[in-house]
Amino acid sequence: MPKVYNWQISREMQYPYDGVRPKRQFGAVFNINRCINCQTCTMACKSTWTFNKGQEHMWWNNVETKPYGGYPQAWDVKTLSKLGPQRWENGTYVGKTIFEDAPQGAMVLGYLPPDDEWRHPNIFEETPTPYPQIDGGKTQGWSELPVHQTFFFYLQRICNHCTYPACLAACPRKAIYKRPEDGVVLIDQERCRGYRKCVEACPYKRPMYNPATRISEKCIACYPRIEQGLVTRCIAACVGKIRLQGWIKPREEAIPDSPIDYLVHLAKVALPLYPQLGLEPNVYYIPPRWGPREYLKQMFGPGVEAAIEKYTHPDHELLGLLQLFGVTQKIIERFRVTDTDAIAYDKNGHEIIRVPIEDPVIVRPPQHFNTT
Amino acid sequence: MKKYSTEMYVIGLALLLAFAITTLNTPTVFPQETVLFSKAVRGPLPISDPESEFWTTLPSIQFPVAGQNITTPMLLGVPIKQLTVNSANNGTWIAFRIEWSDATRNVNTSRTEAFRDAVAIMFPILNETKPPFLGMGEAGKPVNVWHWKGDWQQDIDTGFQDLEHAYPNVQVDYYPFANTTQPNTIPPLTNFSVNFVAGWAANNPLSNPFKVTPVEDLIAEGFGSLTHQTHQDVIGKGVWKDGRWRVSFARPLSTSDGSDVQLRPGQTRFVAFAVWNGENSEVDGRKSISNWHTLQVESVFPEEGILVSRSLWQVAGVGGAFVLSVAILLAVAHDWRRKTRAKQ
Repeated sequence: MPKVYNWQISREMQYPYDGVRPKRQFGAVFNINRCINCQTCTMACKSTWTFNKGQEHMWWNNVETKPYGGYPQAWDVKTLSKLGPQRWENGTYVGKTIFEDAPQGAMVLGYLPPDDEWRHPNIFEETPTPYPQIDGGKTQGWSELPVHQTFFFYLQRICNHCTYPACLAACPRKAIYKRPEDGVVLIDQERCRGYRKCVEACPYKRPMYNPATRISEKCIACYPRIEQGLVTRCIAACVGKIRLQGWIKPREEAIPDSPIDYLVHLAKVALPLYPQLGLEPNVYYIPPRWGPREYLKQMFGPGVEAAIEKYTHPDHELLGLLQLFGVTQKIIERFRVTDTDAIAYDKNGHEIIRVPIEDPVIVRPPQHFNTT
Repeated sequence: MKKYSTEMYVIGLALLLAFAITTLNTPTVFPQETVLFSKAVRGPLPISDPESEFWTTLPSIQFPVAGQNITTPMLLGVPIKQLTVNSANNGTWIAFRIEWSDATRNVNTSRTEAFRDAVAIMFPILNETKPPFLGMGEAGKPVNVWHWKGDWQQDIDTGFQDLEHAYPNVQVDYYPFANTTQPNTIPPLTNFSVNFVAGWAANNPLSNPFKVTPVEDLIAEGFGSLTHQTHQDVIGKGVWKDGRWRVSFARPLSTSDGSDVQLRPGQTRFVAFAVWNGENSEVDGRKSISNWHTLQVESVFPEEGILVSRSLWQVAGVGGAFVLSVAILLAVAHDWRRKTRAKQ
């Protein structure tokens, strides 16, 4: 089996195909700290792509409440417990990925969620969970409000359009492909034969089986919009402005003024979801400040402490870039932060939008105090 | 020379007897290549009746099948099964009947975890002395696969198995592009605009709710290359009863499709089989497969046709030889007479 380099785990790993990266890779950063669980993203996706018969259970975008929520139910802990305890050492993952731990006769370590695990998209919604229940009381100083002995946070999920997709690796028909122009991972609806190997292999459980067409479907990263330079529906519709879409390079080739590269590689404030599984997922998360660190490290890898520190004490440039989340439907290719403004540019270097880093304070004159 | 004792003779005889009894009485499981004889018969073949008595009148061969372990995804740890196969042809059509035991009938794939029972016959398309790679052919050496599917059979027998068959209590407020006048009803898939049923719109045969045959006619050149043919030429029917599947396949011996295997009476071709147990989540490469075996297509009407034609040929041959002999004799006699006359 060929070896590929996965920068998220700082090592080479086994993958059934050669490591050919696309010309550009779709990437996004979701800021968990700002999500209000309104599910506008979910409905934007649903009303665009999955409104038809056979797609009733399909939520290519969903927002679930951690630690207990999950769609399909318990998708993350099921894969983690199959993989068993694994270790990171000094930023390098020394455990096994789901490719390296594949059972005999299979390409990937996975499981096929039966249909009753797809019944409850928002199970355990906003269920507060005591810290010790999650991390055995290891987390100290988790909050500045000691009265809060419990936590939960929202996890916004779409397909990660992984650099090393497990769905693609597991498909015996090569009916899944990664587009060279933007790294979007798609299931060929003509070649798919409904084997459900992708549903079984993807640890994020993003490919979903359509009972009406008897083949599988998945998030398409709204590629018709990307082709027009527009961000996806879920990202465009986000009320809380928690999402930013762009392009992601491997760490060694990071472009400093590319917004996703800056957040992921330079500021290191955004982290991949379960990087230890080995897929190099391309949706990155700014972890929640209030989450128990041990739990967050399991979810986002060893960069959690530094990311939260950076996010809670941002420098001027990061603060500026954070203002560009959700302010335009166009894909931001480059950004620049001045003393007062954050500026976004398209691929031709034209300015898309300019936003102030701090909104001007306007004091209402006394005669208008009581007017609306 | 040392003489063998009586005991040795008794043991030898007992072993011989045991061997004879074993080989004669156990089901004929052939670990190696076996010849499947497609018997030539007259008249129509009961191609839509896999339970017909007709099939029992044919020579029957039992092919062992074992879990596919050449490439991933593999089927490991499944006991070797057996397919009982019969075949007949009437000079125009060839038919097969495959029978195997399966305690469960899996004919619906609507649930994420539900898989179908299926069985397939594979032929190399090129008529060469060596069969191609057993893993569904190889580049330049395509195979023709006839794939019977339990769910397609059910679609044909009882109508398309829609969402509401698997989920009788399904409730949906509204589908935007369904042709229905009733709110809160679940219209059949066929009432939906095909543009929003992705697999159907992409012409995926699995997604098309209108099924014509339970047998899909496919071509492949190696693992992962299985492709639905433009021309579907194979028909068939599967019936599950008392823990046994009986599935018939039929196709004209020759077709006008270049993606099909072309069979001729009197010909010997390679053939292989595969079977899937839906209950065990068997799908794709997770199947039980046979080796390549030989299919011998018997010439038409051996009892009458060939005899008649043979005697005709004999008559013609004998007659011809007689006429020729007489002619030669006459010629020789004529020549001899002329020569004697010339001498005189």
